[in-house]
Amino acid sequence: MKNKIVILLLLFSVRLSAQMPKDSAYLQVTYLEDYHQEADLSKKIKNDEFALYIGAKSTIFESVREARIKETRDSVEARGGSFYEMSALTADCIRSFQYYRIYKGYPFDGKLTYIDKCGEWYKYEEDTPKQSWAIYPNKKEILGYECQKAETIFRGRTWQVWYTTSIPISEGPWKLSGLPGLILDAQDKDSVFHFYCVGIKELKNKRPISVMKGNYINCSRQELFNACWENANDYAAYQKKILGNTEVEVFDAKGKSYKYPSYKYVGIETDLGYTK
Amino acid sequence: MRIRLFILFWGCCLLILTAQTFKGRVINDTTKKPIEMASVSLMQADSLAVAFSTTERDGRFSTTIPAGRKVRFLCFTCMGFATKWIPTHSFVEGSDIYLQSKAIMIKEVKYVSRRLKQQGDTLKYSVSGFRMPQDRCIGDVIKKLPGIEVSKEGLINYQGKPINSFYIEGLNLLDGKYNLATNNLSAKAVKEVQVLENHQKIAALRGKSFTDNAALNLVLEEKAKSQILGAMDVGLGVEDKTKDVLWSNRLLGMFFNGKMQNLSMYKNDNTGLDVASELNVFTFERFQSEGASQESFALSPTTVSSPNLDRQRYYFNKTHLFTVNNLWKLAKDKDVRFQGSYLHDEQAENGSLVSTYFLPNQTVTIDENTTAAHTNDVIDGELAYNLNSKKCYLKNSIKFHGTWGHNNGWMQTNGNAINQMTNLDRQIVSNDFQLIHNMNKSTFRLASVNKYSNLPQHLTVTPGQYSDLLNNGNAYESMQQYLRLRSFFSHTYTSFQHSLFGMHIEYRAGLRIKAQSLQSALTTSGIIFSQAVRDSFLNRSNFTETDLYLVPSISYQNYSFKSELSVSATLANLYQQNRTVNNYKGSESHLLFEPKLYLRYSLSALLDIFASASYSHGYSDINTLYPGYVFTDYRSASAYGGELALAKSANINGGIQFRNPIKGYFFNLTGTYLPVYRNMLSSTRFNGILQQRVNVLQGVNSDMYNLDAQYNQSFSFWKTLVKTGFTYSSNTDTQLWNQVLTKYSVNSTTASVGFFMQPCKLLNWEEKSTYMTSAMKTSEPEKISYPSIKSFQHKFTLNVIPSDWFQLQWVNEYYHSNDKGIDNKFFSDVSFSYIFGHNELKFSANNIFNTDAYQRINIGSLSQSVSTCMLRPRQFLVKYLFDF
Repeated sequence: MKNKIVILLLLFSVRLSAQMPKDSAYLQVTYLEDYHQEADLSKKIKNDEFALYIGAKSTIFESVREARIKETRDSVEARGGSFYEMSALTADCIRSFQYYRIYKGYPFDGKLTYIDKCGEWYKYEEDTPKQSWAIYPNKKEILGYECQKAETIFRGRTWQVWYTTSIPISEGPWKLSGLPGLILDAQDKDSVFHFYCVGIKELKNKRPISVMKGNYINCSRQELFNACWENANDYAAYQKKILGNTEVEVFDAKGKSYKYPSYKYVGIETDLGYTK
Repeated sequence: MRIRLFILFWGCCLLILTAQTFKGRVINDTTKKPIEMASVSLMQADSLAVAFSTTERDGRFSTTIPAGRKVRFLCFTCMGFATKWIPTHSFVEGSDIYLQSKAIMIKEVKYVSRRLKQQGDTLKYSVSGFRMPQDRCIGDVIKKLPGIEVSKEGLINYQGKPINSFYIEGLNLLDGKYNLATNNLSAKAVKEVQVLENHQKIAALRGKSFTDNAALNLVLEEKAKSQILGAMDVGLGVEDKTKDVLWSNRLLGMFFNGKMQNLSMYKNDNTGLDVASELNVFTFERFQSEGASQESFALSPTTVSSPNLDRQRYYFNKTHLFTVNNLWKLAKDKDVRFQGSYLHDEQAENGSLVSTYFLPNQTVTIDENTTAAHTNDVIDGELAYNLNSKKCYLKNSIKFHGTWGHNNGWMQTNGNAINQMTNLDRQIVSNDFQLIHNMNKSTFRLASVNKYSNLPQHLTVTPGQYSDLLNNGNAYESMQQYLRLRSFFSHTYTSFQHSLFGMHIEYRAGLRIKAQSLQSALTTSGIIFSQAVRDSFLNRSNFTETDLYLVPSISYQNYSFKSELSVSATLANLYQQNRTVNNYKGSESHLLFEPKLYLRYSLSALLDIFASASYSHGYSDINTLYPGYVFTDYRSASAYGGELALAKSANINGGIQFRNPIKGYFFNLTGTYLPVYRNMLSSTRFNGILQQRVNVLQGVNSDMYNLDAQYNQSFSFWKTLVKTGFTYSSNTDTQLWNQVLTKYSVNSTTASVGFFMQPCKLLNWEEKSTYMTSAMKTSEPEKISYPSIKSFQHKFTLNVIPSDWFQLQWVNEYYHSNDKGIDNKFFSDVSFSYIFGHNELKFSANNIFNTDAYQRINIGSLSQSVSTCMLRPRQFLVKYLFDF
C-alpha cells in the first residue's frame, strides 16, 4: 500500500515539476490570416486572427478566436459552470477551428513547442527551426513601417515576407523568424496561406509565456501530421481510432455504406507525407 | 605563362572584392558584455539591406556582401538598444561595436477584433455532414456517428452514457419515445445531425448544474419543413414450413414547422419484427426515476425461456401499432405536447424447459413442455406543458398507461397436462411537476411526481393442483388465484444550489411516500376449500414507507480532476398492516445515512484513473411482505412473514483507462466489489413440483465481484479493427433450501474477440466470437462442484456493395457448447436490395437452413436449466418501400 502511495505521489510531483520558464510577453502583434483549408483553391478562402506575443526569450503564436473561446470555457469550468454557460458566453465569437499554438523558445532557448487539437490535444517539441533568407531590394510601407522583402524556402513552401528593421525583433508569424526585424506580412508563393499584420501594441499587463494547462498526447511532428491527414481523409475511421470504437458500419435498407465528407489535407508544412 | 598568372591574380582580387566579409563583435555599452541576437545588416545607399547576420552568444558576427552588390553602411539593431549605422569605409575589421541602451518606441497600430456572429455556427459540437441521402431512416445514420452506440432496443448512448434528449428542429416532440423518429424519419429529410455534448436541457439550469450526458438534435432540410412527409411500405411473404402468409406494412405521415410538429403512423407486422419496441421510453428521467419505478406483476404468465438470439428469430407475432404525436409551440419557450398510442400484440410461443434443482438432500427435476399464446393491448397517452426559459422552467405532464394482457398456456409437466390462464392488467395515472426559478445567483427548484397504479391480476389453473395440500387429496376442477395491487407514489423535493471557491454545492430536501395495498385470495370451481386453507391464502395488507431526506452534495472539477461527494440523511418511517386472520399493525422508524463519493483523475492525456464508493439501504415493500400464500404461477407459491427485510449494501468501484490514439490502441480495466448484508434469508422448499418461498429472519452476507477488461487495436491494413473483451464475475450467497442452510457461489467468465476488415469499398466483413463459461459450487452444508457449462457463439457478416443501387448482405451465426446433449446450431440469412429513386425493392430470405429450435443451458441459484425454444422457420419476404 505504501509503495502505491509513493508511486502516486511521484506521479503528482512529475506533473508539478514541469519546466516553466519565467518569461512574459511585452508586445502583442496581431495578424489576420487568409488561408485555404482544402487543396482545391477555388473553394472559399477562410480567415482567422492570430496574435504573436513577444517576450525577452520566447514567444507565443495563437489564434485569438480559438484562444478567446478556450479561455472563456476554462474560466467557466473552473467555477463549476456547465457546457451551456460556456457556449452561451462564446456564442457570438467567430470560430476558425485552428487550434494550434506555437511556443518559440519554450521550454528553453533553442526549442519550439507546438500544440494542436485534432480530436485530441497533441504536443511536440523540436529545435527552433532556422530559415535561410534571401533579401530582395524591394521596399513597401506597411502600417507606417518601412519594410523590405525577403524570401525563404521552408518545409516545402516558398515564403515571401516583408519585414521592418524599425522593430528590431527577429520574429514573425507561425514558425517564421530570423530576419533583422519583425515580419509584418508573410505569404506562401501558392497563396494558400497569407498572414498580414493589422495591429501592434505594447502590453501594459505582461502576459506570462507558458504552455496552457491541459493533458496533451506527446507525439512527433510526423505523428501529428498523420493524425491530421487521417482526420481529413477518413473522418469516420479517425474518430473510431481515437475513440477506441470498433463499431462496424451498419448498412441501411438501401444498402449503401456511408461516405463521410473527406478532403485533401493541406498542411502548412508540405515536407511530410502520410506514413502508415 | 605570364598571361595565366595575370588572370589568376585578378581572379583572386575579384573574388576577394565580391565576397568581402565584415567581422566583429557587438558589445553592450553599459555593461560591456556581448550582445546576443543583435542584427547586423549590410545596407545600400538607399537604406535597403542586401545581407544580414545575427550575433552569436559571444556577440561575434560575420556578414558577407553578396556578389555584385555595393554596400555603404553596416547597421546594428537590437531590441532595447539604439540603432547604430557605420559607413563601410569606417568599419575596422574585427573591432568591437558598442550599442547604447535605449528603449525603442514602437509605434502602436490599433486593431479592434471583430466579434461578429458567425452564421451557421451552432452552440454545440455540431456533427455536420453525417447525413446519408440514400438512408431509409435516420436511425441508420445515427448508428454510424463516432462515439455513438445504439443498443438492440434502440437506446442511444453517447460516449457510453444514454442521451438525455432527442430533438427535431430543437423541439422535443417525442420525449423518450425517440425510436419512433429513428426508425421512421427518412434520412433524406434530415440535413444535419447534431450532438449536443454536456447538454443541460433545462435552460434555467445552464451554467448551474453540470451534466455529462449529451443530446441529439436533427436539423431538417428546408424542403422537409412545412409540408407533409410520408412513407408507405408494403411487404408480403410466405413461411416455408406452414405456408402462412407474412405481412409487414407501414403508413407514415409527418409534419414539421416552427409552430407545430406531428408524427403519426400505423404499422403492422407478423414477420417477427419487434414493432412494440418503437414505444420504448428512453428519456433520462427513466434512469433517474426519482424512485418511481413501475410496479411489477406478482403473478407470472406462462412463457418459454427466451434464447440469446435476435428476437426476430423466435418472435411469432401479429402486431398492430397506431401512434399520434403532436407538439404545438405556443411561444418562443412554451410548448404543449400530446402523445398517444395503441398497440395490439398477439404472440405464440412453443418450447420446453428442464430445470434441475441441486438441493442439499435431494435433486428435483421438472420437465415442462409449453405452448403459450399472449394477447396484449396497450394504450399510452401523455399531455405535457413546458415553459423553458433562462429565468424559469415549468413542466407539467399528465400520463396514462393501460395494459390489458391475456395469456393462455398449456403445459406437459412431468407428464401431466396443465392449463394456466392469466389476466394481467395494469393502469397507471401519473403527474410530473417541476418548477425551477432563478433568483440572482441562486436557483430554487420544486418538483413533485405523483403516481397511482392499479394492477388487478388473475390466475386460473386447470385441473386443480396440489389436492393433497389443499383439498384433502380430493381432485378438483380448477383453482383461481386473485390478486390486486394498488400503489400510490409521491415524491416532492426542493433544492438550492450555489458556487463557493470554485466548487459547486447543492442541498436537496424531499419527502417520498410509497403507499401500497395488496389483496389476494384463492378460490376454486366446483368445491370450496376448508376455511383454514382459504385463510392461509388470504391477504389484506397495507404498507407505507415515508422518507424525509436531506442531501447536501459538493462537486469540484478542473481539467484533470473531477470529484463529487454527497451524504444523504433519511428519516424513514415504515408502516404495515395486515387485516386477515393474523391481524397485525406496526411501524418503525430509522435514521439512515448514505454517502457517495466519486473521483476521477487524468494522470496524462493517455491515462485516467477513477474510483467510486457508496453505501445504501433498501427496505422491502409489499411484494415481499404479504403473510398469506400466493400462487405466483401453477408451481410456485410465496408467502412472507410480515417482517421487514432490510438490505445494506456497499458498492466499491475502481478502474483505469489507457488509450493511445496515435498508436490506435485502448485498454480499460474496471473492478467492482458489492458486499450486501440482508436481515432476511430466502427460504425455498420443494413439495413435489411446488416451489414454496418464504423469508426467515436471519442475517446473511453475500458478495459479488466483477472484473471487466477491454483491449482494442486498430490497424491501417484493410482498415482492420480488433476488439477483445474479458469479463469475470463471482457471486457468493446463502439460501435456505429445504430447511438446510446452503452457501453457494456462481462464477462466470466471458471472453470475446471480434474484427472488422474492409479491403476495398465494395467489400467488408465482420466477425465476432464469444466464449462463455459458468460454474457453480456449494461450500455448505458440503463442498460440491457442479459441472461447468462452456458455450461458444460466432457471427460472421459479409457485405457486398457492387453499386449505389444494389447491395447484398449475408449473415451467418453458429452456436455450440461442451454439452454433447445440446445440438450445434447454424443460422444463415441473406438479403438483396434494389434502389431506384424514391423506391426500394428488397428481397430477404431468413433462416435459410431452416433451423427449427434453439437449446440453451443456464446456471442459476443452485439450479441448472436446459431450455428449448422453437424458432421461426425459413421465410421469404418481398418488400416495396416508397417515401414522399
